[in-house]
Amino acid sequence: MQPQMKPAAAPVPPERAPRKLAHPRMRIGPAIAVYVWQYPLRLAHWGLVLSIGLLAFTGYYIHNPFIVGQTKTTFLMGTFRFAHEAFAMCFIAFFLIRIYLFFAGDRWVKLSAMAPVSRARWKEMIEVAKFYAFIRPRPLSKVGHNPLAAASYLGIYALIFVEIVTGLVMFNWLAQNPVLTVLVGWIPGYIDIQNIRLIHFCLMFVFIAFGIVHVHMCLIVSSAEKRGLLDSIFTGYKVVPVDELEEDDRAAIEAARDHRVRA
Amino acid sequence: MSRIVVDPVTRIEGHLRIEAQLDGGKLTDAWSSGTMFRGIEMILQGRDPREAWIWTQRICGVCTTVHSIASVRAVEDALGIEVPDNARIVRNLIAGSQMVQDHVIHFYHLHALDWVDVASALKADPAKTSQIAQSISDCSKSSTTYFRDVQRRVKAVVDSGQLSLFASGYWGHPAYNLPPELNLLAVAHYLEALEWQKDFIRMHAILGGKNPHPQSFLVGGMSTAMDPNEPAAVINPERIEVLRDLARSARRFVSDYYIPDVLAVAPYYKDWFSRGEGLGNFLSYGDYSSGDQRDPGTFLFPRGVVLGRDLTRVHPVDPAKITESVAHSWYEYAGGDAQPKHPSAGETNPKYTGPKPPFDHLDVDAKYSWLKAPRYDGQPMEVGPLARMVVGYAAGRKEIRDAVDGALKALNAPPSVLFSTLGRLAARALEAQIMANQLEGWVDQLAFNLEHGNTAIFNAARWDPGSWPASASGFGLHEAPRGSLGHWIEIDHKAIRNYQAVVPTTWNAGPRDAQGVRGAYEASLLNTPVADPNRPLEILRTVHSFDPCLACAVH
Amino acid sequence: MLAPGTEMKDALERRGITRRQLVKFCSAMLGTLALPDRFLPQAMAAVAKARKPVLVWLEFQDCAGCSESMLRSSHPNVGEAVLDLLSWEYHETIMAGAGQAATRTLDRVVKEEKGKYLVVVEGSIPTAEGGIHCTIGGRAAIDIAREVCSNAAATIAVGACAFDGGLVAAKPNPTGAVGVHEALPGIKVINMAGCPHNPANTAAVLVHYLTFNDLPAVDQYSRPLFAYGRIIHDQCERRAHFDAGRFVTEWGDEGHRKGWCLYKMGCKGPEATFNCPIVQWNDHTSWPIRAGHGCIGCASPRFWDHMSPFYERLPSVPGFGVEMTATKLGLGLVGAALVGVTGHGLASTLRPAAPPAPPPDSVRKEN
Ligand code: HEM
Ligand code: HEM
Ligand code: NFV
Ligand code: SF4
Ligand code: SF4
Ligand code: F3S
Ligand SMILES: [Mg+2]
Repeated sequence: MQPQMKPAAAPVPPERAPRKLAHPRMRIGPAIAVYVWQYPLRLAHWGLVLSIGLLAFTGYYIHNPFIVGQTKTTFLMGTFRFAHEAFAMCFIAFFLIRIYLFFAGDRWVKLSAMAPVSRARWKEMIEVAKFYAFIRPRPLSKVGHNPLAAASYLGIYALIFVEIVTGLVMFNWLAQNPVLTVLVGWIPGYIDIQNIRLIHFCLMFVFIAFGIVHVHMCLIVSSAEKRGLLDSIFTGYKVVPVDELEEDDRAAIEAARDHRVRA
Repeated sequence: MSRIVVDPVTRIEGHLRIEAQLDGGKLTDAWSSGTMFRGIEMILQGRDPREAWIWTQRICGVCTTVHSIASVRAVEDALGIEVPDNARIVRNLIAGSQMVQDHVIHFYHLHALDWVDVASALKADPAKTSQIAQSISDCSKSSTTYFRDVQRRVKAVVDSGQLSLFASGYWGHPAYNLPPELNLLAVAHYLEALEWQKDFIRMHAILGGKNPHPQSFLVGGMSTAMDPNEPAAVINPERIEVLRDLARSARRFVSDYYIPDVLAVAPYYKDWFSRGEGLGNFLSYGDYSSGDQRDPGTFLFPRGVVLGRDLTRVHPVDPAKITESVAHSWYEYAGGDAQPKHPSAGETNPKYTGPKPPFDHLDVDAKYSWLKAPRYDGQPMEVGPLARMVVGYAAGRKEIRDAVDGALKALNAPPSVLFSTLGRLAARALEAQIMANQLEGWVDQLAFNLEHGNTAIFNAARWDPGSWPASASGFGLHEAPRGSLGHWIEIDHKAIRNYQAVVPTTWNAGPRDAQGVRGAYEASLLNTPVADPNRPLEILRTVHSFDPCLACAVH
Repeated sequence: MLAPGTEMKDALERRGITRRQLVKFCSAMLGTLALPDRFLPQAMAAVAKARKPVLVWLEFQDCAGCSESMLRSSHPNVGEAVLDLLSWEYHETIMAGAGQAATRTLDRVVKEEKGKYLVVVEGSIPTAEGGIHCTIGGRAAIDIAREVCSNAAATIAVGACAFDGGLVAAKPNPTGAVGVHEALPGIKVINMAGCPHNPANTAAVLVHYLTFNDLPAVDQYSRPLFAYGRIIHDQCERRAHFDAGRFVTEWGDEGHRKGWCLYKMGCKGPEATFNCPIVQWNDHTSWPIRAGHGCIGCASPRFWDHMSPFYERLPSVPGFGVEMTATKLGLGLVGAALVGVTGHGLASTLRPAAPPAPPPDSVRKEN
């Protein structure tokens, strides 16, 4: 049960060892508050979180109308469906903001910074996983997302995309919109409408489960690295010891010399 | 000595092939083969037992619905569900109306052309036809003008040279015996019946949304919610009146057309009272309770077995004695094909060993049919209207005795004529009459319950699969138009593990078993004289007298 | 405009009907097609033609439900369709001839009416093991279909089975059954999906063909738009109850008696397209939802596998049995996540604390 901790022998990723980090458990020098999450990113994050909650609630009602209307004047299902569609439109908007940031956001939220494309990143991801698995005592601290989290976020965005597409297919199934028909009308020819629905429904649980694990991970990492990770998704800032800055991050922060670094 | 092949046998449901040996103008042997297989029993595996009826219903669209009834009964048996009285009545009404309609269609549209020469109707004197019509029935449509119009319409078709469905008939065959006037009468009634059946079967639309394949069965009851005060309820006082009108129209049609026509035609074909006898063993599961469905004593058609044409004894039916053999069928059994299997342990493992199409002949010494060969206590059985009338007659059931004795008297014939091609035809008509007379009684029962606030039509206790045991097995029996139908189901973890249907036409049209014993069709064709091997009308007469349904038989 | 020419006069005489009757008859048929009355003269002229187009009806892996359904047609009724409108020369279930007399008729039509006749196909076509699961006259269904359909003016596939294999092609499709379209790629086919097809629609297609010598406009599945263009749910008489949230929650409950929405009982009306709420069945008598049971989406592609389980909102999750619903699986996932994070969280409390981060007041001054 008790995880075996060998702090002294805690491994430092080999390729990072030559860097000027001293002992991993030591902090040398001052720290800076880095403005990692621009407000559009935070807006997109919280917009998505909120709309997922509302969509899950209204969507579940659509799936299983647990309240049955009694009087002639109720418009329960109608309301839930309308709300679901309205929230869905917001959801799509937040998603599009985030997609924009993949290309136009700053260095920590760009697609190129998050995609697990190099061998080195994969190795880093393993290091992160080792932390979660109690093999490594400290998280692999990064200014932006840790590589494993970044990859999982990309995964979740991909699923959000699927959710939106399946949602639009169902929407168009009922609404028969000419533009949507061109965009997604062909899909039921390959995946029938009931399986579209099934995918849409199952993903809801995936988002909820993701949210749970994600918040937990954030809490764990946040408390382990003590860099204000959790605060950062509200404030935008993370606290990073200057000596732990990697070369390219340091250069970027210095080059920016602007709002990204607060006095 | 020559081999006659009739394939396709038409005016039946499905794909039936008869091969027969002709020797000295008579058939000395016959083989009945079903040439189409779908695998519905295999497709059912792993699915929700509550919806099995929707699937099995599509075993057949002619006797549509009968497989739904057997199926829901099988699941209800497995799960120990009792259905409310109203569900029993609605099921009776659906199945009973199905039976009447099916019998009428069979007689007029599937069987009549074996006895009626359409071409000869052109030579008839409509006035004489009118006289005959008025002498045999109270039916109002019997004027000379009416028959002249029909004759004109037929003539128009014949003159156009485009004979449509009638193009390929054996017109002028020496075995047609009816005078032109009766031929005209029959053609007129062919068209009347065509019109009537589609109106009458609206009974299914009311109680099931559509026909074929009504959609209102449920494991545990019916979806036809009842309410005396709700216009939106499926069954309400207004609908009861429509049902009543339809029930009456059945009664009228059968008594004004069907029975008189059968009695008018039969005397011209007396030979056929001693041809096509067949097995002489009859099986009826019995059905159509007016009280408690679990008590066969309340059945309109009683349960029983009659062996060797012995009308003095009715043997009880023990479903454990039912088996199916695949010795001559294109299947294989795990334990070897020689050993028949009870349907609760039945298998459907198709294995075709016949000739590669196109082919001229089947290898009838080996496997030669997609039908299995059902046996009761090791013996082949005939099922169907004749079996039901025979069992009911032997059991001394009043409605059945009265109907049969009445017909025998009208034909001036002894009960032994029942065991024949025409006997089957007559039994079907009498059964249609008994059933048509019964329908309104069930409407009355339904109306009574509705008026007295008994609107229960579904038993919800076992709807939720969470309430089911880990495994269960059961069977459901029904008397379909063509005879005794049984479905056997094995449920395992809320899914169908095994499903077996043993179907009327499988009993009748099945091939030989491991002992080489013939099925009912095969036995009934023996000794049939065939005047013209190129136009084997006689084979059709006897085979049609069973009302073949091959989609049922193979599934 | 409607003055009957001599041909029309002859036709009326020939059929022994009045002009009024013919007008009524043709208007009823146009009604099914939802065509305006200005097409009436064209329809009447077509019906009056001296030589009737030939139709042959093939049955393969079918239940004959689609044949029976056709027998329930009311405008035109089957007597009219068979004797007056068309020359219906081959249809095993009801034709006079049998055996060789029957097959010879079919051969004659294929030869003599080449390129002019219509074929109706009912039932799926087996393709496994060389087609041995359905033979007629010793010939495999696929061979008959190929010969008869490829020589026809057009093929009308009636019912789910002929459309896409229907029930016969449902998993595990033991006979390799396919619909006409798949069995004979490249032939001109219109699909009258449904189990069975609705004869009102098929009659309309026949009338359309007779009137315009062409088939009506179709959707991506070659189903005529006039019949398959709209969702059941949008035409359903119980729709107001759906919007209001008034649902049947148990068969036979108060809502069921009052005709409330069947959505919770698995109704597939929201997924299914078909015009049965409007044209209904059996001469406009009723339709499944009116009979208190949910729609099973019988006119949809591969509906047997896709719309089932019929009493559940959603299909079973592939790879799991009927016992495993998506909800159970989803809740299981969420539950596992909760258990996982709780366990991980507890274990993490035992992790030695990392050294504190430098206080923010040591932030480096820039600028
Ligand atoms: C995280 C996001 C979302 C969640 C959790 C969610 C959840 C759900 C759920 C559970 C259902 C019921 C499925 C069923 O019938 O069983 C549903 C239906 C639906 N969703 Fe979503 N959904 C989301 C996003 C979207 C989006 C982006 C759209 C886009 C338009 C959308 C459109 C629809 C539509 C049209 C329906 C069908 C409503 C109906 O049948 O009347 N959803 N959703
Ligand atoms: C279903 C709910 C949630 C989803 C789907 C979700 C999704 C995401 C995604 C995709 C990111 C990456 C942002 C980006 O770069 O695009 C992210 C980051 C973050 N989210 Fe959430 N989030 C959810 C709920 C929450 C909640 C409730 C909290 C806080 C209590 C939270 C805290 C954070 C934090 C701190 C980050 C930055 C973490 C990092 O860099 O690893 N999230 N979230
Ligand atoms: N054989 C048979 Fe049926 C009947 N009647 C059913 O069980 O016809 Ni299709
Ligand atoms: S589509 Fe349905 S009704 Fe038509 S043949 Fe197939 S199973 Fe029978
Ligand atoms: S009964 Fe079915 S089709 Fe009708 S409104 Fe309800 S869900 Fe829609
Ligand atoms: S099951 Fe078919 S008949 Fe109509 S209501 Fe649904 S489409
Ligand atoms: Mg069987």
